[in-house]
Amino acid sequence: MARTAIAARRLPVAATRAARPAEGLWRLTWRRFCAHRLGLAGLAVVGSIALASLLAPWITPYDPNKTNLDAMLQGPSAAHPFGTDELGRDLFTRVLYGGRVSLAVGVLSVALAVTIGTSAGALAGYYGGRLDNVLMRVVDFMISLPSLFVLILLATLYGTKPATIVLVIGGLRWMGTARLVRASFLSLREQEFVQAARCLGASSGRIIVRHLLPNALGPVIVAASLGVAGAILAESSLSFLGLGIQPPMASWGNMLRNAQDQLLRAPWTAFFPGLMIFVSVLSINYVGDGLRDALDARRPLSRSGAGETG
Amino acid sequence: MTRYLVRRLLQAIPLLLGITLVIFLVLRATPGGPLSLYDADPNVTAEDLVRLRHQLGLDQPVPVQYVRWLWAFLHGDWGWSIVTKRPVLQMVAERLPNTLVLMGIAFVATLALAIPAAVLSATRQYSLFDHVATTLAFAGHSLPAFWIGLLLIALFSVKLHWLPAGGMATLGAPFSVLDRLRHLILPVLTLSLYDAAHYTRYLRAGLLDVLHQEYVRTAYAKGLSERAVIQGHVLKNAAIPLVTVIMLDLPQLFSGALITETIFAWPGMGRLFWEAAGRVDYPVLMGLFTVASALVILFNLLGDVVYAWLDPRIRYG
Repeated sequence: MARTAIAARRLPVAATRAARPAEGLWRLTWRRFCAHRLGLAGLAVVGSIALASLLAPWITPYDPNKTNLDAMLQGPSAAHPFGTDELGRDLFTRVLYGGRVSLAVGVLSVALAVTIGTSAGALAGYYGGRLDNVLMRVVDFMISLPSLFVLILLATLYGTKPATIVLVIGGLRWMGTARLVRASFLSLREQEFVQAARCLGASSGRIIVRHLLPNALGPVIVAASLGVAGAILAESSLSFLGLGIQPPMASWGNMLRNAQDQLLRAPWTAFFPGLMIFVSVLSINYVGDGLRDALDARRPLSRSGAGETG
Repeated sequence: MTRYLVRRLLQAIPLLLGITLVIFLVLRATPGGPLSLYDADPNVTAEDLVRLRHQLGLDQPVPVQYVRWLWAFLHGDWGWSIVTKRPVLQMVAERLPNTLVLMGIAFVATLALAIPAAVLSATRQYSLFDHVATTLAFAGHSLPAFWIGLLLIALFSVKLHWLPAGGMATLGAPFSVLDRLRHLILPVLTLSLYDAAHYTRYLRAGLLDVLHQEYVRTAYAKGLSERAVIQGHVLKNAAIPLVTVIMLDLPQLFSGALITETIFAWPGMGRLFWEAAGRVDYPVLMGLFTVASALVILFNLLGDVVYAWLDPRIRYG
């Protein structure tokens, strides 16, 4: 792995560093990330939202699906911090429970997309030749599809269960990761440590997984975190159009859909769910930005010519 | 240049055919098949179904069906909508110009916002304007389009009554350019904000890269005004990564248009697609998909032309 390759050469770095053990990649990345205030703030915000969503039953006394026609369309108040919707349900509660769905779908679909994309990119980048050609044609093809159209089509045809939505969104977002990983692999393939590993008899699989992948992960992590933001937007768009998470299950997107009819009387029903989407996506984008700076290849460390891609 | 274009065109055709084939197969492979909408209809007997299958050619092997569809399509016969019984070509032709108008004006608005913002930001780096602009661009990039659309309607239409809440023109009123423009403002704003923010960031990064090059410094040293330097040297070179991003983003332009059309009841292709998808209206879906994909590929080709014009190295490469 990269760590062994680097730690093995005792580079003549400044004497002050020799006093500490060589810093691992992840520890260093975390330190650099923390120096990026906006990224840290973003992580704190989205983390709180996620935590609040998970702990929703302990935070609010209301049932997100229980209708209460006595309390329809009330504005924000002490009892209902975000107001109530057209069926008398507390909006704050629904926003929290909806956060579970929206955030989970976002993270899971990106996990799927990154898995597919990394595998495809790794295979294309390492083996090259016909496999590379075929895989890249597939990528080009999928990029040319208007994605919302395809999402709508697939959701209509194959149903709107949350699992299907995750599959569909994830299945349409892997191409960026594939290209990134392929590019990294193409440049890393010729580095000396790979040749050394081959000489030592490492199989292709071992080289890919233990040597190439860890070095290629930097841009993938950045793309993944930004991808979560995009996936949340995609799920919200689908739900907004009525083809994503179905009511009564709350999702920020379908709450906005219901709010369309109430714009005149109760604009807060549209304001708060959308605000949550905006704040989450914004925070995640800041996190991604911070990660990108933290993983930047132009580090002051003297990893001369190790060919790390940042 | 012509050879480059011809080559790209020849590459585009198999791509388009491939897309239509895949969509065709996806639609055919749905549970229930194209005639499933008759399942619940008590008036449709089993014999009727058999007759319908034969009439619509559904009892033929799938490759034959595809070729028949393709042949008819290329001859202008796009079938009839299962829902409205009208010719698909006519339905699409009614809606397509509206979408193109919306997308075109939104694209112009996007560039009109992004280019000056990015240029001012990059030339006055670290100034107040730069900080405000980058923050706004970052925030704009995270805004869900449907949220901002709804909020704009709530503010400008419902509360202030300044602008209409939807549609392309006031019903029943005689044609008036001003009226059309008033109806365009909110949808265009919704559609262009996200992309304007996105492009501002990319263009700014590209500009910053170029501005630090030595040939730019030479240009300033020669005594050229800032305007001449930017227009003559910097913009063209900085535009190259931007054009790449725009080209890659083009398929998403339709997605954005779809949502905007739905919110603002704009009679365009996107909304037609959504309505047709809801009722699984196969002929309309095939027609719309093909048109949308063809447009995406066409815009990509246009993007390549612009690319080759901006960077002479590509033409001869």
